[in-house]
Amino acid sequence: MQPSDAIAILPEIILTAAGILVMLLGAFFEKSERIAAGATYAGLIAAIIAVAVQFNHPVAAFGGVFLADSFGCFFRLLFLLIALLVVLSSSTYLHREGLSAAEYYALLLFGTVGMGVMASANELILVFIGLEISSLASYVLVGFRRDVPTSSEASLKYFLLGSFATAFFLYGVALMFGSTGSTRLTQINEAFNTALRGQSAGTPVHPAAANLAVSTQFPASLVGVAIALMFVGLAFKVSAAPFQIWTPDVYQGAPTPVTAFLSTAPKAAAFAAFLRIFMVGLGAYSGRWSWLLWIVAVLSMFLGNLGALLQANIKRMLAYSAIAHAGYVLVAFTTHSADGVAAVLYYLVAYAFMNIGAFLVVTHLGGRGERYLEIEDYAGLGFRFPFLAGMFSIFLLSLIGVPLTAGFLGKFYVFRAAIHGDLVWLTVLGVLNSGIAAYYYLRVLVSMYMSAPAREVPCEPLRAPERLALAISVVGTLYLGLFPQNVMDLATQAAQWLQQAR
Amino acid sequence: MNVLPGFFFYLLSAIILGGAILTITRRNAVHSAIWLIVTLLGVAGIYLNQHAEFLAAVQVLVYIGGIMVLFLFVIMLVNLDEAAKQRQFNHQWTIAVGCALALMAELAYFIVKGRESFRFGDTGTGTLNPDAAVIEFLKSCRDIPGLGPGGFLQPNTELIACALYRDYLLPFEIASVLLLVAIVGAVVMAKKEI
Repeated sequence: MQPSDAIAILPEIILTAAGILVMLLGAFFEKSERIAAGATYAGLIAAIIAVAVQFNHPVAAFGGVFLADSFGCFFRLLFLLIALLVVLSSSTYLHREGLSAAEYYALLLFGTVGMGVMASANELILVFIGLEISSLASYVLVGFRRDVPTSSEASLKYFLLGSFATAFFLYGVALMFGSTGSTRLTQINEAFNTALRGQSAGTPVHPAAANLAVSTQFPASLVGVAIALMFVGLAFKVSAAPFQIWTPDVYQGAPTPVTAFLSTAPKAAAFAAFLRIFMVGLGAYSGRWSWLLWIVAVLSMFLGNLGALLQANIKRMLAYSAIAHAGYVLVAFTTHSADGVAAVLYYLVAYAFMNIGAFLVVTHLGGRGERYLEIEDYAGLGFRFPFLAGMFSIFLLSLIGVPLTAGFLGKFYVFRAAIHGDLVWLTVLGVLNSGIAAYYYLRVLVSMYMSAPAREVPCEPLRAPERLALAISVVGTLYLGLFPQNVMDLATQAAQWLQQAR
Repeated sequence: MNVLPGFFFYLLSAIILGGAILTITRRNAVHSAIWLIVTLLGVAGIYLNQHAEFLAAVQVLVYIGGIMVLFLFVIMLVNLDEAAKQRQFNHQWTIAVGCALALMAELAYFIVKGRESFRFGDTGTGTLNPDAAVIEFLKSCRDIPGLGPGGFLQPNTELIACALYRDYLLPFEIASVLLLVAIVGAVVMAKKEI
């Protein structure tokens, strides 16, 4: 290990150290909530600075296992931002529910470490370990309200199904190693390219002694099975249909700030790994997997949106909408072009801001023990709490994709990439789905502004951290909707980097 | 020289099989656990016989040292007298026999077909079937000093060390974070009062 290697993983080192420190502070101090939160903020901000410095200095650390390139840094910055927003919106919630803050923050930090590793890994084994770290942290966070049966049930469901999905992924990795002789993504790509070139020239390539590690003949059926298994594992993690069964139950049972976290950060991390594995490692075989993505994208959009129409619980509704949004992201992914990747990145950032904002309002209005989560409870909110209702409206309009908000431009870039990639039918189905989605978001808006309250819903005033998180989310949502250029430039840069790596 | 490894192989196999049979037929759970240790030791011997010294050491440390201790802990915690009175074979033994026969047929197929059975249909040569150039290269390794007498076998422990501490250093180190998360998670979920 060289100093440059340590600098490349400095953000992860900082986060791990901060996580351990937070746990120790929790053990030594009687009233540890504020101190733990302070240490968490410090760790996150230090890590953000460390990533921001790396952004323009791409390095391949640990002999090419870990790539701190602009693609990886883009995602790591996104995870850190999400973690910061979630920590800001959690402190009041944890106090209200009487949950232990130190372990909660520590698990959040460790989860962020795992995701950062996933986004920058150029090695399937490292992707797997990162995936496991972030998943284990998520399982525990989902079940954090231990005295609430639905929370424990959600945790158990997520744990069992999630372990199953990771096993699928790992089996795919093993078969990929068996067929190409390497788990390094760039080496797998090289091996495939050499093999394809050899085939087109009509002469079999002689495996020279130097090429021992990477054999040039592939059992095609084995590669196909490996791709399919890895696809299943990752599609589960991004909650794409038909692997979405767990999503509504888990999102509903989890503590609301954790739901906000789950629907944005681990999903974005899974997309990062998805993009890197399929664009870099398996780019040569795109004909074999792009139609799989097509089907999964369409299924996710329809199942998500149609399922959301029927929900009365707002968390459940947002869970179904999360499935649909994964579908939109997959539409951009199906193009497997630089345009498409940039659209994926932009959409994930936009979705993070608007979704965390929406869940923040849901957290706050839920009250002690999360009692007020039905859509009926939002009736008349626009008159009783105009400020909160106004904020919630902005997030919902952005989720619909109304112009001037982040959601609109996100969808615009996604569908533009799809049209450029000649995926006309997919675009038509996607736009159709945006129409369906408008109905259930508008239902909440109508209930907030046009009906009388059905029952008395108490609401405490917002505290400072929540105000800050809300302000960041709103500003982010509007900024991305009005001035997309800066973020889009970064996304394009990251996408081109990924394209070059092939 | 070729007789001795063969003799040790059959000796160790006999120990493994005998230990395995005794493990499942003893009434006393502690006796079963001890016979399982004998079986695992036999497996370690087979590894040693194949020049996989590191694997043999890990087998002894992890399985016999670590996992068997856990087994014994569990045996001590459950009610042994109750278990000893229960019948050892239930009516599902017919299914077990079926599965065992299927497995035996499969293994026999692989033994008879040999290397051929690993070939995948649509390629000329499978990855496990290197062509002449590769075999030449492997044969030339025999002359390099420091390699094992098998020629094809490279020094096992050094290769594992290279893989773990050079090529896969980061995954190896970061696995410690994974274990930490797992421990913290288990304590958070299981402890009565945090």
